[in-house]
Amino acid sequence: MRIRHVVLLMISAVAAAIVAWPRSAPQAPVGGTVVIRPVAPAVSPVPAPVPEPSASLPPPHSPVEAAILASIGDSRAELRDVVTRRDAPQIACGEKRTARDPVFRRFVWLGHLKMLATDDGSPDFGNIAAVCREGQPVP
Amino acid sequence: MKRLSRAICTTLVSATALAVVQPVAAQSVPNAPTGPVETQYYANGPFATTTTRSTAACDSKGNQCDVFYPANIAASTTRLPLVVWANGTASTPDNYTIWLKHLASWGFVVVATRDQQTGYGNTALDSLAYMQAQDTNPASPFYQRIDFAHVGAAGHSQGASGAANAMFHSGGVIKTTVTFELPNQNWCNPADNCLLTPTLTGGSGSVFYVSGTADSLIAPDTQSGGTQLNSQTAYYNATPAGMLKAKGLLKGANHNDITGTPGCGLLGFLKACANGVYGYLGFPTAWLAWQLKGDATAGAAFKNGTGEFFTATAWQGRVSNIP
Repeated sequence: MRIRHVVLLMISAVAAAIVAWPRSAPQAPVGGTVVIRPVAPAVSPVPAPVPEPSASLPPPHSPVEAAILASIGDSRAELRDVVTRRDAPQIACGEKRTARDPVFRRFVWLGHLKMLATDDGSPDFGNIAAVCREGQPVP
Repeated sequence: MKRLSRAICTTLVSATALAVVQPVAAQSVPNAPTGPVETQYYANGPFATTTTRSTAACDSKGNQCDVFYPANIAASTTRLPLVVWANGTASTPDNYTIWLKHLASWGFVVVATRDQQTGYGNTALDSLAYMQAQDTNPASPFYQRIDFAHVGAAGHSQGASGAANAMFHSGGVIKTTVTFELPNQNWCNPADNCLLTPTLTGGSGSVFYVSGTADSLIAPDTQSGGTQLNSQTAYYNATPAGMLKAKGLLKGANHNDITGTPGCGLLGFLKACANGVYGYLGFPTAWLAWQLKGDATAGAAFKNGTGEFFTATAWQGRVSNIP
């Protein structure tokens, strides 16, 4: 009985050592997903001067918006309410409309895959849109 | 046509006779092969391979084509089967070199347009026409080398749609298609840039639908919303019973595992690559070897319910109608 107890203690100690041993390289999470923790934005001590926007020019697109519009390939496409996920900046969600489909519809943008999903009113889009929430696994 | 002829005449043969790199020992990789057919086709084939790029456009959108083929093609006593490859969104053949060279090592000539928007399949068909022109040009390395009675297509993501669309619009020239990570329709912009299930109606040829279990957001087996709109299962079910068809999901594979080199690297998870290309080498190659080279043993592996495919440990969600 005492021997069995000692063996169990030894096995537990070895298992604990394996678990605690630092990994030599980062490991990809199971299923290829990862949660990227948000990083606090760097604060500039002196605000940079910002040029006055011209009333005649459309507002400039952010790099994410430019990438989304490039993927749509429609010079008349418009975006609104685009939000980039803070903990996974490659993912953006918002609304878009195009010349062919002139109604604003929700979209999900996976920038690392250059893939854009459009709301077709199906429950499946609701599942895809869940990826917009912070903390959700990144595809 | 004149433009094509010039392209043919000036085809740049990069002629990098590439030593065939054998995949890592099968037992040490994710999704290792388990049966004889999968193990056979997991390994590279007997041919050293080389790559050529056309110096002029090979498709109607102005893209060049890369061609992967056995380096000794000139010495071949028989014509070789052709595989037309279609890239995923914003990708080029450079993203798939391990897979494409693997096919070439098994005696396939693979033509791949560098088009990055291949969903409609038109540029894949253009690349097929390019190879048909090469086959009639005495100055081409492919002069009378291609077996146009045995042409297949394959593609990834948007290109999976492109490969299937190319087959259904090829007038019967393309006999089979292997689709990797065929997206559901939400991801297609516009929607008809995807293969649409009605397109399958009345089609001919055969299809092997391949996806990964970790790619459930883009290329799911069945859609969780219940609409069954263009999931792998929906595509399989919509494929007419008169066509030979199979479907399977590689365990743990994400959207871009087919781009592995052969693994995904430490940062693979940032590009939706979980395990690498390993598990995709065996059965997809066996399917093409069966359909385009007549390997009946490879075909028997897909026999409904009892073939080797159905007991392979790396796969799940398997169905087929192969008698």
